[in-house]
Amino acid sequence: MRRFRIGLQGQLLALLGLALAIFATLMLLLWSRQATMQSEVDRLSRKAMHDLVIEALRKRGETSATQLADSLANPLYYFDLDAIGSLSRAAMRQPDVQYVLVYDPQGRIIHDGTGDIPTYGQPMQDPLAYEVVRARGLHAQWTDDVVDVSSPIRLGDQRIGGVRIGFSLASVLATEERASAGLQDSLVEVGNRHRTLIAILILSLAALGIGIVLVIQRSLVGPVRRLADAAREIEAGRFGGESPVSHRNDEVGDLVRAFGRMSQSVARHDRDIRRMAYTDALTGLSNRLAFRESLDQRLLELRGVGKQLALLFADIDDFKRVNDTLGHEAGDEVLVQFSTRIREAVERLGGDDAQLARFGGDEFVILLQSPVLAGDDVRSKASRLAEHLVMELSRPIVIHDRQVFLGTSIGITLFPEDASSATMLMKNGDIAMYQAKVAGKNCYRFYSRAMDQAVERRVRMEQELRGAWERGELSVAYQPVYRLRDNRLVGAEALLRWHHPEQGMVSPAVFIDVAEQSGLIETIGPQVLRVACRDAMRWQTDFPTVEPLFVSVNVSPRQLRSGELPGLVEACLRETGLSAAQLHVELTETAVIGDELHASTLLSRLRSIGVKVWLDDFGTGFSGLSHLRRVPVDGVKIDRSFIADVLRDPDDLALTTAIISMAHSLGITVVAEGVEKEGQYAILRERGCDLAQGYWLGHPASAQDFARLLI
Amino acid sequence: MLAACVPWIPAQAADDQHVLVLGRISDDPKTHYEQLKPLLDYVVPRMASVGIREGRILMARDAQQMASYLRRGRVDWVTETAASGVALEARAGAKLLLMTERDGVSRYGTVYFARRDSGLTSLDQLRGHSVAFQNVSSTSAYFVPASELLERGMRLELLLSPMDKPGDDMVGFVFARSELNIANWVHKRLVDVGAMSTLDWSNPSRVPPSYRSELRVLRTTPDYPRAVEVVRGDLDPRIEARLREVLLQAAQDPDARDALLRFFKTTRFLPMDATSEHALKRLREGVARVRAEVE
Repeated sequence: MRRFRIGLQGQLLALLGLALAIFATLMLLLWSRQATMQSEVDRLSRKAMHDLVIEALRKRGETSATQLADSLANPLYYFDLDAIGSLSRAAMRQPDVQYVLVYDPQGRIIHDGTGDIPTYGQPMQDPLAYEVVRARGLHAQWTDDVVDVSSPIRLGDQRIGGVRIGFSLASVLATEERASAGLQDSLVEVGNRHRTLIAILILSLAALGIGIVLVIQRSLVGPVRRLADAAREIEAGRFGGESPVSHRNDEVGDLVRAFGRMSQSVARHDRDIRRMAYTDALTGLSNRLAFRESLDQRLLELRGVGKQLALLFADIDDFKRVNDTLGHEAGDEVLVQFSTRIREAVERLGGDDAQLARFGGDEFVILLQSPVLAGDDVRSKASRLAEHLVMELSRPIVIHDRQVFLGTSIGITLFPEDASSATMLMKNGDIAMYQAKVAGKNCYRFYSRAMDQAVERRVRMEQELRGAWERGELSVAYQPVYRLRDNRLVGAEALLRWHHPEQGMVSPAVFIDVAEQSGLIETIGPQVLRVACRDAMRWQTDFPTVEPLFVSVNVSPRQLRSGELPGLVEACLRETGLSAAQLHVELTETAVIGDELHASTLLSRLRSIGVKVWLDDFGTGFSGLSHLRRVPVDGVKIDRSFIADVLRDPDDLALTTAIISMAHSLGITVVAEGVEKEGQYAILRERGCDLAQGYWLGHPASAQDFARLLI
Repeated sequence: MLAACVPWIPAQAADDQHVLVLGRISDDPKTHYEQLKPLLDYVVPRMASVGIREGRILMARDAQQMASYLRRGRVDWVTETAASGVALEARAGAKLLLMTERDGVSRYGTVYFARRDSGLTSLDQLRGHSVAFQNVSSTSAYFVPASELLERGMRLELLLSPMDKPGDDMVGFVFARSELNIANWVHKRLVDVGAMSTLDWSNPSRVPPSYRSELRVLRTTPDYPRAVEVVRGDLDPRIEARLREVLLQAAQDPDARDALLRFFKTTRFLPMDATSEHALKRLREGVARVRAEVE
């Protein structure tokens, strides 16, 4: 889920909004301040006006009252109500005069300006009357709606009455109101002007803000967004997209152009890396990764379409031997030539959809698709190609002016019959190829479920073999070795036996191979060595003989390669106290062939300790006798296949005799294996073979059983 | 000499036979001049047959001055109220020429009135009370009522002010200057009784209508002429006769209407009849009595 985020533009907008809000607030404050000021001005001006008006009225009232009082003195003296009335009415006709009251010294009304004087003789009782009556001079007072000015009417020093003039404030207030309204209007007009000004300012600011946002949007945010989009495209691996272009001559333009160059450079590098990642450097073919991706893609496309695929796993037989014997450069040459041949074959027979890849080492994989032509299914097409390849690759190759004969084993698996996933297809192909190897190499095999089961059995066996020693399922048996010259028991070969809890005794040929392949031999081997040494020591202790018995122990190629063998041997000898001369180490030819120099060094070390080294299964390997010159060994064990036919086949007898005489000429001991008949024994003795072992001489037995032979 | 240069100073009218001088007792010459002039301008051209070629107006401050002007021949013709007319007759030897009808009224009487709650119902109860008259020259509101009270055997005493009280056997009187004052004073209980002409009594601007219900009429006198035209005693009889002739026929002359109207709302001039003569005779006696007993 994408987290909510505020972009540059958003931030800018927020900033502008904030600035605008602050400005607007300030303007509003100003506006409200102005409104307050207006009301203040209104109030003050109103008050000033009011005071002024009252003052003016008071002065005018005082003048009028004084004059009126003066005029009234005579009429009042004569009580000339008519004259008083006339004067009063005349006074009342003056603007704003609300009332005129003439009163006697006691404050009783004498005249109120009306014709019939209804209030005549009544004491004045309005709120202002008290002060009026008590006043001895000109007196002014006012309420909210009237200004009352009174003046005594005197005759000489005598106060014969008084006159009050009431000025109504109504018209004054109205005038005030009008003036105030006028002022208010002016203020409102000023306010409106200000408001317009403020509005214009705010609008201008907003317009400016929008303009800035637009400019920044155009000049910064837009390009940055386009760059980000382009960068995302590149990040997602899509280099094809158009990179942003800018003709601007500023930093953003520089950035856009730099980005364009960078994206092109990245695309170039990506292409290079891709090529490197997907191509085999040596042959120029697709590599495992490329093939694997292509296969996935192909499977995805074909799913449900009904088309078939065939996967061919080709592995050059004994390619390792080329590397070992002719060097790696020659190996590479072989690979290049092979790949050329395979490519040609595939181009000729595979069809347009065929794909070829080198899987590393000497493995090639070919992918075939069901052909367009009906009736020609992918299986027959695959077998045709495989047949051709087997034939083609068995032709000799000329390397460094030498003819090299190699073969190839091919495993074929089909989609969708054998598996639906790429992983399973490749695994199946591998299994089929392995079966081709097992079947004798230089041939091809289609994958079948049975193969799968064989592999599964092997895997299960490997699992069960793991820990078998600790569980006591593995044991060491000893087969007696006799000296032919005097028919004496001189030693024993230690043989590993596996008693499987369910399957009973398992053939060493089967489980030793598993142990070797899986590496379990590296843990089992030392145990066997140790046990053999211990048993040999016990035999010597229990049954001392003039000539101590030796024990010979098989060492696997893997053990030899590890380089720890001499140390291990020394340790076992030290632990058990067995003399080195009583321990023989048996090696197969193949163990030595891998790296002869290394093997020689190790074997020399072993021999320097005093341990004897024997070459097992001698005669079956194809390097043959030449190895005996390079590898320092103390003896050879003639393979049982020679011994088995030594009585019937004169060739085998001749070969055996030749081996014996040749070994003897080199000072090497010769041991015969698989002696099952007395005749065999006799003829070997006659030919001068040194030692022999076999069922006729004695079956392999447990340490205790073997010990009985010594009694 | 200075007087001769000033136009309104009375000239030697008597010596100037061709000038007719119209007089009037006036406290407001400015206004009255405008009232007198149109009639004079009407009359003078019509007097050419008797040698009158010019008309003049002469106003006197009071009756004494007017009497003096009449005696010295400065004024030929005076228009006056009835009492003033008979007074000038007595003092300056003037002659009553015609009765003057103003606003359609040629005669009226005098009304005595008091507050209804004053307890006064008759003039006979007036001793110890006060009466308000208008002024010393008023016919209806002084000479007529005062002379009648004197006739009834009452003694009149001039009071200092309306608040003043007369002796128990005297009738106090006071001049109120205006009819409205009379009405006010009675109504406001400043005086007990007021007297004025029937014409004023029924005028709402003289007696506010609101007062009327609270006032009671004690007596109304018989009618007497409202106003009179007076000529000096030694006026040329031809001029006098021609003047009478012109004035009597003025009411029928459309050309005179406007001038008459201006002339104190005069509607016509009437010759003296017997009733009027009688009334004037009583008035003459009353004025003489008032002169004798009060002044």
